[in-house]
Amino acid sequence: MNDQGHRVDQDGVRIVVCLKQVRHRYARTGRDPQENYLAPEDEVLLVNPHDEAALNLAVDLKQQIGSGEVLALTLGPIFAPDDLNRCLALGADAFYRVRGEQDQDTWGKSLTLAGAIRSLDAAIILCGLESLDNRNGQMGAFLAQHLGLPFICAIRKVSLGSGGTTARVQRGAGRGEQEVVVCPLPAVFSVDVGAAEMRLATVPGRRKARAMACQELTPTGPAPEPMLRALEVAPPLPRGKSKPAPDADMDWYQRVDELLSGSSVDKQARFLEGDPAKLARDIVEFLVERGILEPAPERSTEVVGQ
Amino acid sequence: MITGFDILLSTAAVLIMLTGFIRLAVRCHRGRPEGAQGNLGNLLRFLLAQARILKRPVRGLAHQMVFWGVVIPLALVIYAQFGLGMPYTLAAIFSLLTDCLGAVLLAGVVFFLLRPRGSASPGLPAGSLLPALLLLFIVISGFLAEGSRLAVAGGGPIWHSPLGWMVALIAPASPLFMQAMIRLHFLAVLVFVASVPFGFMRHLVAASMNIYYSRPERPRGAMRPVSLQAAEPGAQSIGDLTWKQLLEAEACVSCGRCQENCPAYLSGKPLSPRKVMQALWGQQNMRQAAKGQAPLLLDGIGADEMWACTTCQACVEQCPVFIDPMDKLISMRRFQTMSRGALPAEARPLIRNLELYGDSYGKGPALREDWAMGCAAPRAYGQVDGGRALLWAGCAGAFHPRYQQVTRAMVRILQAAKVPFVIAGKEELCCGDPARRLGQEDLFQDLARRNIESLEKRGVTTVVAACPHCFNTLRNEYPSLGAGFEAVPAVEFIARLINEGSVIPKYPVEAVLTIHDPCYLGRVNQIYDCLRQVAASLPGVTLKELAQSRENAFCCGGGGGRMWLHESQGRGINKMRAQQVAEAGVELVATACPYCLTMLEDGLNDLDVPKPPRSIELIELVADSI
Repeated sequence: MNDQGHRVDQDGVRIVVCLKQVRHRYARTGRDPQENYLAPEDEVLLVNPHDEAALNLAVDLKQQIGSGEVLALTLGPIFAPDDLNRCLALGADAFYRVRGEQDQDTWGKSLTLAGAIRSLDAAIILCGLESLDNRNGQMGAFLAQHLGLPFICAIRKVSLGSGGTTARVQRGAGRGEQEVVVCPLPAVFSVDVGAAEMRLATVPGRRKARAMACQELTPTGPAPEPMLRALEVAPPLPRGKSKPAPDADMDWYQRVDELLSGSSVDKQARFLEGDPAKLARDIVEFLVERGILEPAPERSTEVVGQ
Repeated sequence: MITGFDILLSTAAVLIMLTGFIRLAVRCHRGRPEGAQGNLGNLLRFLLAQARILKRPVRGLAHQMVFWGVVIPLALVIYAQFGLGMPYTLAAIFSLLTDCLGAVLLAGVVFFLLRPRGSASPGLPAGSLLPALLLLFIVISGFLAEGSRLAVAGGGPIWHSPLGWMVALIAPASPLFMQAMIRLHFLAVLVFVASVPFGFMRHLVAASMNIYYSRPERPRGAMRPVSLQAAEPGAQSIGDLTWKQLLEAEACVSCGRCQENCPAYLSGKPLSPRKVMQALWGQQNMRQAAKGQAPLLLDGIGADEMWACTTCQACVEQCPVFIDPMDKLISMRRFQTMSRGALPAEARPLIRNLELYGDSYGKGPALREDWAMGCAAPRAYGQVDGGRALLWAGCAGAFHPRYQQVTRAMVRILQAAKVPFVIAGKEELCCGDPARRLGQEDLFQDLARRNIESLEKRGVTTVVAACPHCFNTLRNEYPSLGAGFEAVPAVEFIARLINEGSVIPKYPVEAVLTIHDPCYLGRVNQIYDCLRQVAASLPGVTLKELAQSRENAFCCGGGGGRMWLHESQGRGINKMRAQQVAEAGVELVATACPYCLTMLEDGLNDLDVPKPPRSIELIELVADSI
């Protein structure tokens, strides 16, 4: 793979950034239990924001050094091309797609990715701290394990030490403190979103990203064995009432009308008639019937004085 | 009598003038191509009748006096030199006219010379002192020449030269003096003629040209089209502007009317539309001096100026010669946003929300029709049958808790009027207004295309939008992308319903009420009257106009993407507007725009007065009254 043109610059650093495409479900407005109550418009396809932060960090580092290469890499089929393209437009120099399965566990994916990354000959390997969908935050650590490299998690800034053989890395150390760690290269870091400014994709950048060839990488070695297997999958609980409480801004007629109409829960109304004393008795009886009130204990009708 | 030397001098002067005009034309032709169309009607209305200059009566009249005081006598004198002959009476009448207009010109020039100068008040524009002094000299030497001529000739009063005769009473009856004055007068006129294309007086031609080319090839509310195919879209240097934009820079005399009305300038931001045009002119000069090297626009107009514009179009409304400073700022924004990604950081999440979720709140289409819960508004999931209006909620109307109430009020009104309508529900996306005005043109076009496609697919013919920004985009910007439906602002739709009698406000709104004109209804789309008509139809309302209303209305500060930008310099524009409302002594201020409503609400809450006026939507007032 390496002989396809991306030779490491003499003093440039080669940074690999792993980008995960995510189906982010931000709402659950569907009605079909088979679809887990998900409607098609409930999801957006995007690149995991932590991975985007990693890419931004890589581009910053490259700009800081003045030379180098940012290689973006994703695993499996491409299903979020628009957002992937936007991320590449932020400053990636090359784009690789690793052949592999999306539905492996993290261990399996990390093995596949590590096989591909090994062939890229990178000095720094970055991935997001966690992904928006699985949020297990293991990828960086697993990659470092497979590649036999040092690993620092949740970093926010990175710069090269003198000579370019070490990296100075800044990460949150709790209580608002930041710690700086020096680490020999090559190394794997996972990146926290932090407070960095969001980068905007430019029109020329997008054009360049669209023209960028997607290079396929086929990992070597045997197909990874899954380490985890789900024993049981539980579907989401059925949805409750399909309507929220009526809006307080509406007048009484609209509110009653709304309560009575269109809900999935059957509602009934009974009109009570008669003089106030009878109405009160009927209301109490109604509430007792439905178990909302305890039946009143038998006692004398005398009112106990205060 | 004309000597050969005079002819030589005149020819030289005219040649210098022509060279100057060619230089002007060349300067403008360095710009990018643009298909602007000429309009003679405008030229008659705004050059000869000076309709826009006369918006300020005193200054306007003085300008008229100078204009006609120069043009007519000059034309008559030139004509007289050709010796074509004319009847004595006509010649005498012309002489009288010249005499009187000389006095008028004198009065006008003296007025302009006596006006206050300095940067605080717009005052006399820079560079106007020399031409004014030259004109003063021409008038005085002219009268002295005429006076001494009459004194030399002797004789009593002459009816066709009354002022000349009066001057003759004091002027020396010396032929030498007369000759000297005539020569000086002639020389001064030649200097004036030769200097027209250079400096301040270039506006005689450049402004006229700008008025001539002012017939818009697009509606006023539509931003200039921009090519996304360019290597770097937008305007980086002065070389990226079109010839029309450069002509506007030449046409500006920096009279300062734009600045007197600019909310950003008045609230103490660094932006001034006059300064923008002057900076462009300065850069044109620099470019000429540097032999074609085009300076960067950001070197002349700072980033904080560029982002301070609320696109309220007050400057466009005021400019007597149809200069549009806002348009240049938008061209700059486009470059900064699309080619450099340099949109202010606080507005970047907006762009991200629009990209991912298609709305400015980042809530997503799944939740977009939640505002309609409890309203029996039919969704447009099928074909919209003929004539049924589509109620466009807009992002604010769909997601902003305060403006959701307004959208629901609109539904109540439509239901009360038994108007058949549908809503687009989850299929609606942001109209793209904030993206376009922040310079993210590609995103705007993407959103617009998707909206147009879904609306056209449903067969929508009429869209009713409560938000003036949505309305303006739908009406003025979508047709160029292929939309064929009609867009109506909700207030206008309600006014129609009230006129038809299908909506009858009956419950009184006992309040002294004023109207805050939203920029995008008022100045941008010239919709003023239906707001007042709707307000006046509410029983019990006492309508009171603000001092700054209609086309002079002060912006709320929320337009042009400013809703998403920090306002860290100067005073809050919304607070200034709230102050103006409070000073009017009203109980309610009604508006018809989500930005205005939010900005005014904030501004009024911030006021330090015992009982501040309350802001409200006109639509809500109507809905509560029926």
